[in-house]
Amino acid sequence: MSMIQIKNLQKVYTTDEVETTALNSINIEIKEGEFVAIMGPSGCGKSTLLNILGLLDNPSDGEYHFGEHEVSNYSERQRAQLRKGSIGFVFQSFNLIDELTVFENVELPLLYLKVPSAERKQRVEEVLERMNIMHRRNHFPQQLSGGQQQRVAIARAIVAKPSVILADEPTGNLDSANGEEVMKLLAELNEEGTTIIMVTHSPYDANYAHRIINLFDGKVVTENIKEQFHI
Amino acid sequence: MLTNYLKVAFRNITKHKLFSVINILGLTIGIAGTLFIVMYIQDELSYDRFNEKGDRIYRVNLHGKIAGQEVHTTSTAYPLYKALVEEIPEIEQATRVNDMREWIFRYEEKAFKEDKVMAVDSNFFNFFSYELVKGNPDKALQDPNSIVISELLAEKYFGDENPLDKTMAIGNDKSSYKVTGVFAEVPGNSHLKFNALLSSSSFPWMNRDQWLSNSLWTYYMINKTGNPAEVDHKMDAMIETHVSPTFVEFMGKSLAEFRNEGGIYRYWSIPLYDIHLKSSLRDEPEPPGSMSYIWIMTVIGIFIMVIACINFMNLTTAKSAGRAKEVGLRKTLGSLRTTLIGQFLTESVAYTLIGAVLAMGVVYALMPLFNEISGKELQASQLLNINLLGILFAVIIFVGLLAGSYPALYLTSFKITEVLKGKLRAGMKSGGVRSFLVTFQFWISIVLIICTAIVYQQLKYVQNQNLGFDKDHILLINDASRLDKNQVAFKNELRANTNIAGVSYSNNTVPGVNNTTIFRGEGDAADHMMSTYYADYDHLKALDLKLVEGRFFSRDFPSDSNAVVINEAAVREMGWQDPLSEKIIDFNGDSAVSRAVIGVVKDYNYESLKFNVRPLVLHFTNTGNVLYVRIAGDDPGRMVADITNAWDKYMTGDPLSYSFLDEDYDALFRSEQRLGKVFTVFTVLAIFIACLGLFGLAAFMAEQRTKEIGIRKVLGASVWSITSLMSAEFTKLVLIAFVLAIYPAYYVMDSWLEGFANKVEISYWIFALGGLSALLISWLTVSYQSLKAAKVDPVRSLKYE
Ligand SMILES: Nc1ncnc2c1ncn2[C@@H]1O[C@H](COP(=O)(O)OP(=O)(O)OP(=O)(O)O)[C@@H](O)[C@H]1O
Ligand SMILES: [Mg+2]
Repeated sequence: MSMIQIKNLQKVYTTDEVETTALNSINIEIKEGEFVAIMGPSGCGKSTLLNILGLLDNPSDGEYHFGEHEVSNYSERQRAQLRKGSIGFVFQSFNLIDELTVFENVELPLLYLKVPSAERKQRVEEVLERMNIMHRRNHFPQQLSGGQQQRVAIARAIVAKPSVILADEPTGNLDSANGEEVMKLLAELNEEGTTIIMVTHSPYDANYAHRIINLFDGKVVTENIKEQFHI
Repeated sequence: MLTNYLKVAFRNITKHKLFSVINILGLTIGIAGTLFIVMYIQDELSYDRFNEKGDRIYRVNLHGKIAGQEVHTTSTAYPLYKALVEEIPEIEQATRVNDMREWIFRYEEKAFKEDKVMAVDSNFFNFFSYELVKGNPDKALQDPNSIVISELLAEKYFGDENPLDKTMAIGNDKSSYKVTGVFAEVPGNSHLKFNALLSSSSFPWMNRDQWLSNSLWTYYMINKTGNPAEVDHKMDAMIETHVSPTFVEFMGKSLAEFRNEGGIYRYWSIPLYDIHLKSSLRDEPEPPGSMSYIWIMTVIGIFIMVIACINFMNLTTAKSAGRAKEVGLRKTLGSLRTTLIGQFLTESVAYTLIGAVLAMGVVYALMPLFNEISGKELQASQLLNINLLGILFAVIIFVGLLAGSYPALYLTSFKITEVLKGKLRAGMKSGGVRSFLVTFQFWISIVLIICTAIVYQQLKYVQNQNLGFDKDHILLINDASRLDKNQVAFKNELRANTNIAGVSYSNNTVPGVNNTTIFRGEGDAADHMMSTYYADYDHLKALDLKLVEGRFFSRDFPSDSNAVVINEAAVREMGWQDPLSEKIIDFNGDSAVSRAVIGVVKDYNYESLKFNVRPLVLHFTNTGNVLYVRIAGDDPGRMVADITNAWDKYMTGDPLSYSFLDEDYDALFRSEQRLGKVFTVFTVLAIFIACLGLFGLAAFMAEQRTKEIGIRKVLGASVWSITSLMSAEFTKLVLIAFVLAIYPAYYVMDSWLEGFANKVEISYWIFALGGLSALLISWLTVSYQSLKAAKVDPVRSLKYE
């Protein structure tokens, strides 16, 4: 069953009379449980695509089916509503709130979902345990290493049990050991049934995916199997 | 979720200490200032509201137009109160208050002069709601020679003894009065303030059936359906029945004739609650408040709050780069913009709440100081008054929302996709709005500086204006008639002292005049309203008046005791070419008397510099209740001792009381002086808060430009050039604010000065002063941060990025 289906998707940025076509006639289908990597040179539109897939932004044109919803014309309110429970995000720069502790950062999505306090505590502790950072639960992000911060970010992405996780260069700011650990975690989550869409520059990381979508200048050039890479 | 918001808010407060301190301090000062203003205004508006039946109480005023002169006074006739009750059915009761001013009180060996003594009718305590702590409110003021005193006086004269039924000797003739009651101190917000009340039955003359002599205050209470306009109407009829018959006798013409010539003589009512703020007639019991000052205070209060809010807005948005990530994240996690706006508003309300709590402490601590400056008697306990708390709550919500509004809208407008790139230099983006807000703050500050300077200039101007005589070094003894037959001996003793330049008896205490009445020129039918008082031979010398024509009363001319001296204004009023050949007809005695004009004195301001000098006729007297002593020596302290010694020789055990004329004149401007002080305090506050904000902004700018400054220094920029670079931006804003401030400040002050007969010219340098001081203050504020930034080692600052 297809989880995500986009047809003829287009994204145009208009700034001071200059029009940038960031995405042009994109057609992609992603099935439930897939692990997809998006690759391509800098500025080709990877992040733009991921933002649209993640309902953070609207396309300029085209169709976008998320599950049974056609969301391309959703208002901000509708997108926020849909995003809340079903999509988790992992960023290159972690994006943890500096003023909140590890525990509180991970708890945040559940607060927005209005999960009762006792259940929140239990679920947050569960994922912290799983990410192996339970002992750091009362630390602030600045007190953690990059790898630990990214594990907190992943914990936060999965605590609401979303069906899709979107990751934009999740290993970009990490050394290879920490990067590998993060990739293993993502693969593990995928194994458990979570759909994962990941932007990456690293062919090594892309290797974890079932399928690679190559973008060039706003267009899908190849949608290919990973076998073409020799690692 | 609320706890989550508050947690973030609190951690932000502790993380950015300087900014939080500035924000909270600004809000604290702003709210404290506003609280003071609110309490001040509340007090002004609460005047006389403690009277249970106050909404049905009115005071009768008199409006007259006699000989072309308008008279608006609070003084009414003795029998009016009786007629009101007897002839106007809707009037339930009426009562009179007669201001007796100062009396000497004696009990056993204690003797003091007490002021604010009043004679009142027996229903006084039923009529008003002043609290009687001892005695029977229905009976205390019934019998002749009853006195009711304040708790303070009871303590002063009787200590622990029970004052009831004790006998005090009151006044120069030491009449016996029985203490029949003790009242709690009169509330500060009562328009009548008194220390002792004497029963009106003690003074038979208060029951004279004399309708044309207006000298006491009359109050009435109507029933619930009564209408004061109706009462005014009925009082017009009352004038026909009661005043008409005696009119001919006193004014030399019938009421009808008088009216035909344009004369007016009518009573009208003013609600008790309006007296303090809306009534400023002649003979008000105390200097009235003013609605316009209340408005001015309100505006200043709002100004201060706005400045504090702007600080908050500016600093919060300047710091927003740090919050952008949080906003982006919360949005990613599904938070709506409205929810986020709610979060930031919660945060600013929390800040305001902290500020408000601290402000309560500040107000509590500074209450005595504020009372001294404003002349109020506010109590710290009023802070917990339910109305005030309500207002405080409203202020917190209002300020919290206002201060938070712009940051909330601004911060939540970040697009997720932008923020998450992590490249947003959010602090820079709101520069336009921030510049506008800073300019606005300085606009307010400069307007306030200019206004304050002009208020002071005007006060100085009127107070130093030439009175036409030398008011310095004059000592005034106000109840010299106590000396009785020793009056002349006392005066002669003082005259013999070489350090005393002049001694003069009079029946009048300047500043002021207690008799303004009708005169005519001989052979002229026209009436002229002129002031008059009595003075002796030495008045010219004692007051240092200047003679323009003729001579002053002289011992060499025995007939002078029947003559008059007039001032230049009187000459103009009469239209005389050669005043010394004229005679004045004086209706003051039992019958009209013609008096020769023997001299003209240069106009001197015997009332107040608020008014122009009015026509004056001086009569002769040998002695009077008031003694003016001009001290010549350079040791006024010793002279006071000399005078006291001389006094004690005649009046052992009867204390001398005196005042200095220059202080009495200054006292006339007390309410303006207070306004000046209050203005200054709040102006300083406003500027201080604005500078706090500027300081914070400068700190932020310096932080933002560390890298730029580093590069400039590497390229050879001096500390000075960097400091001026940093100050240039603010200088521009202050200059714009200055230009925009000129006209409004001019307009406001010009209309304020309208109220003065003698007013200072608004000079351009006052504006220059306002602008320059704002500029200077802003430079000083910014330079600290700029210098700090400019002095940083460039190698270190470049490592930051
Ligand atoms: N807000 C925006 N306004 C205008 N143009 C934009 C905006 N965001 C992105 N672009 C443009 O759209 C194109 C795609 O940008 P995008 O961020 O998706 O690239 P990317 O593939 O993620 O690059 P990188 O690998 O460097 O992260 C670029 O040409 C970029 O300049
Ligand atoms: Mg990208």
